[in-house]
Amino acid sequence: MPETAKVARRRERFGTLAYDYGARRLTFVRRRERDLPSLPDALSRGLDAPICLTWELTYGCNLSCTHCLSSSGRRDPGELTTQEAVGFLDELERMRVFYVNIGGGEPTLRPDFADLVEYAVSHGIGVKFSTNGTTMTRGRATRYAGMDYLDIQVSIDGACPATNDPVRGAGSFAAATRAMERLAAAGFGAFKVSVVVTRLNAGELESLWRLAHGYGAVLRITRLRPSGRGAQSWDRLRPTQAQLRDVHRFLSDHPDVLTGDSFFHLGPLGREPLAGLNTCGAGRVVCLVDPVGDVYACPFVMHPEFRAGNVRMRGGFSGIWQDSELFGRLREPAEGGECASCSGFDSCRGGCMAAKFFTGLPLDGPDPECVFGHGEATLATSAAAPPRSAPGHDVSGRPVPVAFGSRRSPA
Amino acid sequence: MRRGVSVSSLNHARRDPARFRARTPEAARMPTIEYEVLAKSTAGPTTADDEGDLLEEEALVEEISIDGMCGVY
Repeated sequence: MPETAKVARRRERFGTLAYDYGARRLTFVRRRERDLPSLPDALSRGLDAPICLTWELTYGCNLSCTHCLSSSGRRDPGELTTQEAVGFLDELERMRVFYVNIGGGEPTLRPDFADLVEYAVSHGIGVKFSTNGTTMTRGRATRYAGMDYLDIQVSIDGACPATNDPVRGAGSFAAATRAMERLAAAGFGAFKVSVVVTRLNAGELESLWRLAHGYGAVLRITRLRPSGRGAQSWDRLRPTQAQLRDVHRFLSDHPDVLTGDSFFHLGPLGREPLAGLNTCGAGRVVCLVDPVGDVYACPFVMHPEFRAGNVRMRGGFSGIWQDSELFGRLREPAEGGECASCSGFDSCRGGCMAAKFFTGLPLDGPDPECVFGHGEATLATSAAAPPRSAPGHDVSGRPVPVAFGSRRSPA
Repeated sequence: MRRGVSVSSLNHARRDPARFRARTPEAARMPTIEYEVLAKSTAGPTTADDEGDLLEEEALVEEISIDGMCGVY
């Protein structure tokens, strides 16, 4: 990806926010004042527009990963049309949203996928898309490598097929690494290799780091949440407390590894915070738009309780972001509940809302994976049945049938 | 919808791959602009908060990666 110096700025109530598209870094500038809140506290009150958001283009997917957040499989007939999707991008441009993370399902299965990506980039919105790599032909890799302000995240959940394929499906490791080879060969640059950390792969982080670097890529690890299909597999796949300590140690040893700020609940394990804001951004600086236009606080809480509206409603996305009751509630100052008196609270800030919600824990209590074990203690005594994610789009368990490869020889 | 770019033009480009490929490098370039203030703001007067107006000792500058916010993939 070319080195460039294009920067977008916008004023917010707290000061100025700038985004460097080339370096992919955000700069917050505030006037020094007495009793200035910390940056996470300031941002927790919300912004006039998201900094970035996750946009799931389709529920259609040719895999059926065990932990899929959106329980993807078959397309929903109510998915946004191409015209509606373009209109949504126009709105994001007007709002000065800097960046959109495109996912699904498998977003590249949508026939208009490449058109939408190019439309976004040519209208001032940086794009990163997540893919299982199955549709990455040499031609597509070359095309992506020629686009500015495009990042790609290839998903993999193990350093070898024996670890990866039980979670993501037979042949998925080979398809993902083939995509990585093609991106590297096309000169794409430092794409991302994205791994959801589970009990199965927690011991392979060093191998995954080497795998990513072997392709000139950057490793990105994220937390397994009990959301979507992940709710059924969470107990079986979630890392042990010992493994989570290893994850924290690994991150401390490898500052180049990205996390999407998903491990801030491990903050109390170290003297220094992990890189990132280390706080929940849901409904405050980020959100999710699903394939049918529903707006949720984040990708990990796709449940009616955290649905703020639909972009097809009067007022559109901007009306939801600025005026929805849910987001207004999330932006109110939170006292921390029973966690506020804990020595670790300043680091972990009570952990992940989604992890607590889908394990039936109170939102003002400890994270189920609290490093001090407070969450485990609460889980053990809780009799409440946890909420279930919104109905999946793969009721039969069968993903959209798309053959690996195609009738034509790959480009 | 932005004037000059329509869904139909995107569809036409898809039917004509050669033309689309020729258009792609230009279409995929980021415009060189700095965006101005959002239309709606409850921040009150903003000139005092303008980054350019702050002296170096008055400004607290904090940076994070775009990847550093929880709530995205």
